[in-house]
Amino acid sequence: MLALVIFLPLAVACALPAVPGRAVAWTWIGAAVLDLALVAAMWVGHGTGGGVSFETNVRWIPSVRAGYHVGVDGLSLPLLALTAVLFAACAVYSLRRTHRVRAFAILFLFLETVCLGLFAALDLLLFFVFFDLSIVGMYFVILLWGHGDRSRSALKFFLYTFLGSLVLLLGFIGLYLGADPNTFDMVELTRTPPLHGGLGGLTLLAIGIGLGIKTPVVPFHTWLPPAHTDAPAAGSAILAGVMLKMGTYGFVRIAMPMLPDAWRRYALVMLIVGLVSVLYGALVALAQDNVKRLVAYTSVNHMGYILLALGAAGYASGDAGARRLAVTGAVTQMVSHGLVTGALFLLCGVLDDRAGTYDLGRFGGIAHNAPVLAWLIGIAAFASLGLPGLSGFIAEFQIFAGTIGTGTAATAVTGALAVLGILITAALFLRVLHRAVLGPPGELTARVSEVRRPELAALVPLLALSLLIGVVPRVLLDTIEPLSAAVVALVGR
Amino acid sequence: MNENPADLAPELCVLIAAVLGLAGGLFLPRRRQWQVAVVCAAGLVAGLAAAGVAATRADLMAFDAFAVDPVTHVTRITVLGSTLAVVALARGQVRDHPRETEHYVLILLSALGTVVLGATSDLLVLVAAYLLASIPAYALAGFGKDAPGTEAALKYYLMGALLGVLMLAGVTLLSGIGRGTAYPVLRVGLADAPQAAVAAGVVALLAGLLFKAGAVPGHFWVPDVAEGAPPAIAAYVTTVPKIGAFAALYRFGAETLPDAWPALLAVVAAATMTLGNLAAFGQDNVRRLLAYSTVSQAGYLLVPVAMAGRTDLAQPAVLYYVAAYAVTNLGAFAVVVATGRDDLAEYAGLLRGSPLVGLSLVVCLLGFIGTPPTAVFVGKVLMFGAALDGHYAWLAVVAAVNTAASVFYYLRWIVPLFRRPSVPSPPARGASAVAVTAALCSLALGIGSGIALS
Amino acid sequence: MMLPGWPGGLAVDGLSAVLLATLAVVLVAVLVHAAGEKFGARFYVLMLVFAAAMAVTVTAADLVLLLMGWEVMGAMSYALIGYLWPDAERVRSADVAFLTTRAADLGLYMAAGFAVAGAHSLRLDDLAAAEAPWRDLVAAGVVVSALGKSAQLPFSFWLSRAMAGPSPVSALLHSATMVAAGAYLLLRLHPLLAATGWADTLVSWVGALTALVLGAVALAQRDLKQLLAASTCAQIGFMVLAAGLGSVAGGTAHLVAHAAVKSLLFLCAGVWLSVLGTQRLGELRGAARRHRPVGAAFGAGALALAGVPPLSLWATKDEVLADAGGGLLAVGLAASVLSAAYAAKALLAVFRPAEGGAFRVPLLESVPLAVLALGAVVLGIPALAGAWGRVLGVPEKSDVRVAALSGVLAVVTVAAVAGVRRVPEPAWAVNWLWSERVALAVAVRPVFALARALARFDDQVVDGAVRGIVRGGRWAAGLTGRRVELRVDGLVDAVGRSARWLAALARRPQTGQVHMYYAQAAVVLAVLVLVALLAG
Repeated sequence: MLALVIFLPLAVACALPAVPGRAVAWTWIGAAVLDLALVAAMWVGHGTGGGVSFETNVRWIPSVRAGYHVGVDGLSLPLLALTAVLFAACAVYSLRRTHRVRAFAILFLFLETVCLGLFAALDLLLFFVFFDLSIVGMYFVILLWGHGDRSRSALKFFLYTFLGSLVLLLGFIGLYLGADPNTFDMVELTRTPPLHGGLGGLTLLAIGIGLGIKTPVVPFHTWLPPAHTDAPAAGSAILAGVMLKMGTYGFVRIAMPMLPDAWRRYALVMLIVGLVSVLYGALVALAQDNVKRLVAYTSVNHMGYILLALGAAGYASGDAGARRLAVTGAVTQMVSHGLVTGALFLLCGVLDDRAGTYDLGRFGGIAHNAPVLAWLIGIAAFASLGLPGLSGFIAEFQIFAGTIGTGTAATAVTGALAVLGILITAALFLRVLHRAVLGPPGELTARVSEVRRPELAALVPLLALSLLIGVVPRVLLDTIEPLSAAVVALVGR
Repeated sequence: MNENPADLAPELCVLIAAVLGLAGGLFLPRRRQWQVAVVCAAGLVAGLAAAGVAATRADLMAFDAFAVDPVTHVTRITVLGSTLAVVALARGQVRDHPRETEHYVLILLSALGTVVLGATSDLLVLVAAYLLASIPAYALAGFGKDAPGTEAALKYYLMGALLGVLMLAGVTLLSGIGRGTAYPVLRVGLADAPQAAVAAGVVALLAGLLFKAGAVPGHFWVPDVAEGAPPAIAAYVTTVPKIGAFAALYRFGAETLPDAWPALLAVVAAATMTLGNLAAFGQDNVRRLLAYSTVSQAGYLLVPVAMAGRTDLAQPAVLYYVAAYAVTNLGAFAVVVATGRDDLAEYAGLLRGSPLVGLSLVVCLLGFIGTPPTAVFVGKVLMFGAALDGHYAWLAVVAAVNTAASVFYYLRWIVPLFRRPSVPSPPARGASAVAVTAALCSLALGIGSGIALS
Repeated sequence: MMLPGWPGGLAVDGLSAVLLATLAVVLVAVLVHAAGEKFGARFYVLMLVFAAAMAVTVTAADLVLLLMGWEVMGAMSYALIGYLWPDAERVRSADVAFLTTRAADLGLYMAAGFAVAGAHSLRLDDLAAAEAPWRDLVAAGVVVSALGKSAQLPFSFWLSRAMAGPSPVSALLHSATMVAAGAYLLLRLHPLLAATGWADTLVSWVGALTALVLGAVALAQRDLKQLLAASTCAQIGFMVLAAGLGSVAGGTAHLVAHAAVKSLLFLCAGVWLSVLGTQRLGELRGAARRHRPVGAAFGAGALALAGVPPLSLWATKDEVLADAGGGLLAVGLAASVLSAAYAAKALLAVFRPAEGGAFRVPLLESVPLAVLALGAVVLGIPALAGAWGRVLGVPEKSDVRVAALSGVLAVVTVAAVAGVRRVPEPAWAVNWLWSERVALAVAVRPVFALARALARFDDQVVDGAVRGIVRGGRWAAGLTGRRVELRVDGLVDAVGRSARWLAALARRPQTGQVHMYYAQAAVVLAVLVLVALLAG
């Protein structure tokens, strides 16, 4: 079942060259939607219990004890679902694309397999394989379908994140060498965490930098704005919605359970890096005039909350309930950010499609010609700034309550300061609404026509899911909760 | 003492094929010299089969100087397989050449020397193998008799001569102070010999082997030969001799365990990968670019060699990486042979014009970077593992930074492939097949690395 | 229960029931009134969500749901204030209102965290039992939030901005939702305030001072809606004072009565605005006389606002002040004098005789005015009868002397204003204490400056460092290319491609190239020997 979910897109991608030209887009959509249905079925099958389901463990490189070991649990299911949803949305969004559709579809289906595989991987080497392939895939997306200074941005993206992946690999090898017997298997490494003391700290440093570049956290974030600005809309949506999660997912899946000792010791570092990312990302976003760059920087801000919460979870002396809340909030934030930022980037794509620019100052009053578009932008913006009733609030509330509620001086102070982030985010999104959507018409407003049907069909489900999570969060939280309890217990060892 | 010639069956197959080919070539008209290629290929295939069979048997030592162990098995299989690919590449280039026969025979003899280089555990045999591997290669480099080829051959020869002489001196010194030439004897003898003498001897010995490996300081010939020699030969000299050289380096390090070995090789490795990378940055000629890339790859390969005897990961790392490297490098050179284009800009639109060859090139170049699931990826993982396990974390970091930097110039070659097609020229069929096979092998070795490693 | 493991939910008790009923009545009145004007679907959607959010806020039993209602209300107020979005200034007003209230809302987010830390619970009932330092922090967060939402000092200026919305929005926002939510929260959490020992005093004083200062601000306004807005702050100040004093019954009574009064007044102002096209007091001269029913309703509301006995706000204010003593009582009485003064100012302005014919008001618009006017008149009776205490289940107290005093003061003040006809209008009061300008100077501009500076820093230093490393790498590569690499091609050209190749071969070693190679190789090998010696 899981293998089918993971490799179905790749199989379709391989078959795509044989599909006649006009059916390519629909085949792509069909595959993406089918995969989404399969993921949903898997979620139903897993239910809200703890533990790993749909596990497969096949020997791959036995001499280094690495295997094709995959499975799903409360952490991977939401992210698998998010991946499937976003890829389906991108497939629908790209329905009207005319430039090299076939290659585009093949690349996206390939990327979908890679992303699904990453979130299902239970083996470090397998995780790394998917981690690296995602970089290669996204590089080509930016290089071939981007705009602006795309080859430069793509190269920067590749070099920066690839360097990060190599540092991550060094960390993984550190874990491998530290385990007795040596193994890359995540389940075994989680069961008996290797490496105590200084080596553990060094390994955490390597893994932290590797994942931190991908996440990205300040100061390793500067690859993100150019990559987003020059990527095509669907590419940005996947990059922000799915691929940034690989970093934070890695923290929860690998760094915390496998290096609990080091994680507890350096929890303060995580807190501070998280806090700096939150405030710095929000402030820099506030000063942007390019709306896509702006959204990119808010990603830095939103990812910062996750790291903050995970840092708080490392304070073993703190209240266990609060730490669980923080971890649940962090995972919810991954899903929420994926949905909302994915939608925001697709909306940026609509603007670019109509007017050919992302410059805030040249729009204004687009609600006049395109009221539906304006509503969508408004809802997405409020979702991103954490309005209750939408998913962002559920995530951020839990993160703040959990972080501050851990009850140590450090977590309370950093958590309370991080709350300022939502005010700045509110300010910057109101600025976007004020300058682009509302007010008198601007220079390019006449060109901004209403959303088309494929765009609407891609955007509405994303925002509807955000609303669903915002209003009935239990559908998501009940699945995550057992996992966060487990993670908190593992870190507390 | 085991003196069973059957233990050397693969080598004998190659030798017999070379002799038969030479003899047959004397009597064949020019247009039918392709039969020699068939004979040589048959010899190589037979050798491969024999090597495959030998790999399933227990380790042993033949003639007191020829170890038949995993290192040798991998060396044999990789060298013979690569040589087979080179023969296929060369076939299209020297067809109906007056000296077609000699061409194949020289390749085979050099390959034979390379296998022995990797398999021997005696300094004297090492020297003999060095000469056997080198001298035909000098001739091959100048085979085209054009100006760049002759200059390349001359440089190749002059470098080889100097460093070969140094190596001889080193062998003399080491056998003197180690009271023997066999590695087990040396291991005991060198342990209580004067430090300075050992150091000088080892470095002198290294000079020759690093020349064969194309590593600092014996790397000067690599770009000139890669650019000046015929492309098939360029593929040969940047691939096959290295296999033997790394096997020999690893064997010497692991079996004699000189004190300064890890530090010495780590410095050489770091210098080699950095220098190769930096020099590759600005190249516009793909053959020069590939040449420097092979220098940097040699640097990564030296990392597990440096860790010889310090970690269990060193041996699989060297062997796996060397095989992965050979496959990938041959694939990339095969594309160069197939397209016949030397300038980076000329590769524009290749992916549209001939998608299979283009994709093979993309796979090979991404393979050089170490992208999963290609073979070099597994090699790099093992290499990093060996460095960390051998407590050379700094070397691992240097290798990681270099790997990331290398992305830059490999991508410089990949990016034009996607551009609009320039003048379409159909690639040579045989070379294309080699390229596609190599790319597939690279992927297969990456995904099926479990089988290959065990 | 929104979050697994954190009990809570929606619950209705006396206080919630009263507020829900108030909300329902005012909402219906406002919506019926608005039906007379032509608003689109967007307006009704936003208004209904706005009211629903208030309903959630007043029934929430835990901080999650409370905050959800609380923040959605803020967002809806943004959308409603900026309802006429093509006007950039109105959008700006909406921005100011939302950002100011959200800045205060941060207190509630933090309070939730402190509650988890101190009480291991998010239930409102458990907050008062939190452990020592956390309890104070929770109280501080709650107080800041509530003061922000209720436009108390120092957050009052956003309410001035909120006037940019349509009048029905103001009518709802100023009475039963939004600003009332802050007062409600303080009333609800009075036990927490009392438990800290300082928060109740602080709240009382802030309430009383807001009533006083914003009363002065109201008195100085020349715009009817601005006057009413400032008076809302001042009147909410009495409720906040009540919460601080623990007079839950009084505060609730005042809230309900004020809701009726203020929605009535805003709807009347709206009628005049739509008919006469102005809300400036000077230009509204005689407006009340041109349509008697509306004028009468406004008159009833204004007199109630003035605290003239026996109208509603007189009775409820008395109930609040009955619990105050000393300084607070004095400030409270002074504030009620001011409220009488500004109410009288508005009243006189619209009743002053002037020419101009009568105008028609649709029935749909005037019926709600009658209902609300009735409320403004009679809602004091339950307070006098002690009914609030029974509904809410809290002790209720009134003080005849205070009631008499404030009644007399109100009547005298109204008479005095009528006699003087001119009230002082100091600039600080007209401009709402310049508090928006202060907020701009102290918070907004520095933050924007910081943001721009950080963006430059990000581009030049953080990304600059990355670019610098890349440049360094390229430079090193260039160096390597020049020094180490000696090209073949140039030489080959120089040497020629003829049959002289043997001669050329002989010459070539003399070109220096191979010498260079040799020299470099020798140097490297020597270094390696050194390395081997040092390492060995």
